[in-house]
Amino acid sequence: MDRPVRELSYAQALQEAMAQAMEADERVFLMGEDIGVYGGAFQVTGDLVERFGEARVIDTPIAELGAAGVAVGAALCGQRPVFEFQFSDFATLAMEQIVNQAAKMRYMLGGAVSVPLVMRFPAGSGTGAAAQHSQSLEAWFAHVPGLKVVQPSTPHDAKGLLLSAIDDPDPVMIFEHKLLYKMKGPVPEEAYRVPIGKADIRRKGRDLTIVATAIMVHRALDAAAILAEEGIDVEVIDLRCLRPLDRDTLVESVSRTTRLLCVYEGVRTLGIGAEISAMIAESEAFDRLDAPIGRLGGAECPLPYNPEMEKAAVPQIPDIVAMARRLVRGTV
Amino acid sequence: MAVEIIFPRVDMDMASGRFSRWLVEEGGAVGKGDPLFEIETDKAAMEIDAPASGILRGIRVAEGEEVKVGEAVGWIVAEGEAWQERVAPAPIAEAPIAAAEMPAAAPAPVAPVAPSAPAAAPAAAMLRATPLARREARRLNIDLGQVSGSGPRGRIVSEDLRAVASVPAPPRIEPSMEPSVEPSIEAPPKRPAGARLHRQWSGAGDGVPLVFLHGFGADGTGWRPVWRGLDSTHRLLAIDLPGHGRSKPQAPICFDGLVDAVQSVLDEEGVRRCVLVGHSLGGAVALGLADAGVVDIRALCLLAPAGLGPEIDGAFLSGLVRATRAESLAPWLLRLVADPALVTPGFVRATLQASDAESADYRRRLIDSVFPDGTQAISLRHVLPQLAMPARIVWGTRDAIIPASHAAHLPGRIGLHRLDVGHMPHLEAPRLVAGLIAEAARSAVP
Repeated sequence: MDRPVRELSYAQALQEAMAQAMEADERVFLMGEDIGVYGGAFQVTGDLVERFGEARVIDTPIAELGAAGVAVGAALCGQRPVFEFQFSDFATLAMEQIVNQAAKMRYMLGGAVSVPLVMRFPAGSGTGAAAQHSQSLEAWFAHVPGLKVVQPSTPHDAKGLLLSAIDDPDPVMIFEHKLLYKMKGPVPEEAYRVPIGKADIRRKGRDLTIVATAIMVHRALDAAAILAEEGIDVEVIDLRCLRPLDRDTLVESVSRTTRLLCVYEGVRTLGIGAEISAMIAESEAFDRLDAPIGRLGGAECPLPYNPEMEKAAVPQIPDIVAMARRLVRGTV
Repeated sequence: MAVEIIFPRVDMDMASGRFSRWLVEEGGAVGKGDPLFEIETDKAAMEIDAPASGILRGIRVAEGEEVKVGEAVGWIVAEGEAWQERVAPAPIAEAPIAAAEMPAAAPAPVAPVAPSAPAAAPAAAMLRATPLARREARRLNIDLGQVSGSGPRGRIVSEDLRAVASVPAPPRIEPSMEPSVEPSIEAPPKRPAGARLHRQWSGAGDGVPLVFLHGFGADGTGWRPVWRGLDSTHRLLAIDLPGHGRSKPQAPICFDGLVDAVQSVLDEEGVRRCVLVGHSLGGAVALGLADAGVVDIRALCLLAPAGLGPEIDGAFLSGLVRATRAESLAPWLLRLVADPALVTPGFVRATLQASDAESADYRRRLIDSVFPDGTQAISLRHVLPQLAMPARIVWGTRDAIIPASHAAHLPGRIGLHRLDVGHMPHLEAPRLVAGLIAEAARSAVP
């Protein structure tokens, strides 16, 4: 047990989760565009088609609505499909199947059926892929009861949450930030699970709670290291899951630190930060707030192609440092 | 203004790269677009141009160093612009970002507000204070109108109350007991308020832990008769309130001080959800915790709780804290119970020995704050209708300390058990009370 855990990239960790799930359960199969011989747009499925064959690693036509319908139908019939969108942006084409069918079936049929479906969404900006391939739409899906929405930020959590998602009897949407695919980190070899609905305190601190998702967790940790040199002690919570939200961990943390900053890449208005801010303001932590709640989110515009503008449109480390300073030093 | 020189992303997947060499020396002049430094990625080496014209300052990376994309490697300042090495990191966050952040994050940026000095004592209607500052002010009985706020537009933050809290003590605050104790205002994130409180765990089990809060003048050992009657499905935790049992006194000496101290112990012990059992003053503290809402209380069981009406036997309280000998203590202890046989000489001696002078002094001050003039100055009746968890109250019909009539007119969903005992149901009817507590534990939402 004491030997060091080997490192895998985020993409390799996802691939290992799928391979282990497919080995353990023959109902598990993969669907998506170019996930077979090509190995997926971000090489997440890699050579799985060679290991499991074309019947279980299925290349679909470029027709998201139809393919998603097949996945929902297969799940209803007891299969365990794992569906990859080439880019999360293309989920717009499949919304009927996700929102009106997958999310509703269990409820509309009085619990007689469930839809054990997993959908994987490469998301986020920073790759120069422009407005139609760079969005962070996870909050849309988190607004739909009947879906679960997870957003792992490390290779470890990517594997553990994907395995939990595959086990789950209901549809789980997993948002994978494209900038994380090559990030490496320790990943145990066994098929472990990370529970859905639990946030993770990635750094303990006393002065400010930063709640962040996906790539923003890493930016917040980098910002916390800079702020530590100035004597500002930041707690960083990796939300990991948008639905269900881990209310207890957030309320407890803010009650201790008395200040809250939400950092997320999706459009700032009506986003994740709006929900977390409101939840804290409604909770017993309200009386413990000693500064206004801060939010840093994406700009109110389609993501620009120009790399400088693209960078300026989502929170960066210096933005987090500056906002944290203002909240803690009481200048906002 | 200084312009940050950023290590660029030249490839879509690139997270970092090797910094090969500077093409300009520290202090050298560059023109915008001139080659400034060279980098190497796993694919190629390339020259990077200067983002602005000026003088190269504050070089932060050495040749051959691995640098993360987006990291600042140095600065370009205007000719003649003062450059202080030591402030190098500051502009990262303040100068360039303020410019970059505004159009991106906020389409309609709020005009920056000049941090104006707080105007002459703000009228109450104009008062700006954070929720925490307001809560602390209520707790410490401080008039926020008298506090000048250090925040923008004169907003009062909790820190601002410290200055006020250390000047002449407001009515309900007692001076701290020990010189080492911080001024009576709580410092939220750093406070070790629970650190000195004695606590005793017992039993094992996976159930939600049961937490026991004793009454005035008692301590956690008083729960032993009841604990013997509880099976082992839950862990049991008894906390000695400040200045009681083995807990030292601690400031502030007021009711909220007790609530906060217990809350801190629960926090330290990792108890985020529990079944709460409180007797008398401990019952009021339990209601205070329910009111604060930080601890997730899954069920509540109150024995003759304080806080539900003004009456309390003031003579008993002062007799209890004045007594220094068995002869003067025993008559008051007899008032606690219906059956005088329970007040054995051993019980009297144990009660006497449990008290040192410092704690006795603390308890005198506590009475003065919580039960002045033989009156319950705290009221928690407003909490009862808000209780969302299963709750029950146990009261002895022969209670001579707090009248059982305080349990009249309870909200319908709170259970009431009237026992033929005095003020100490857990001592006088331990098996029955243990059964009621076990029922409360079973009613807890897991």
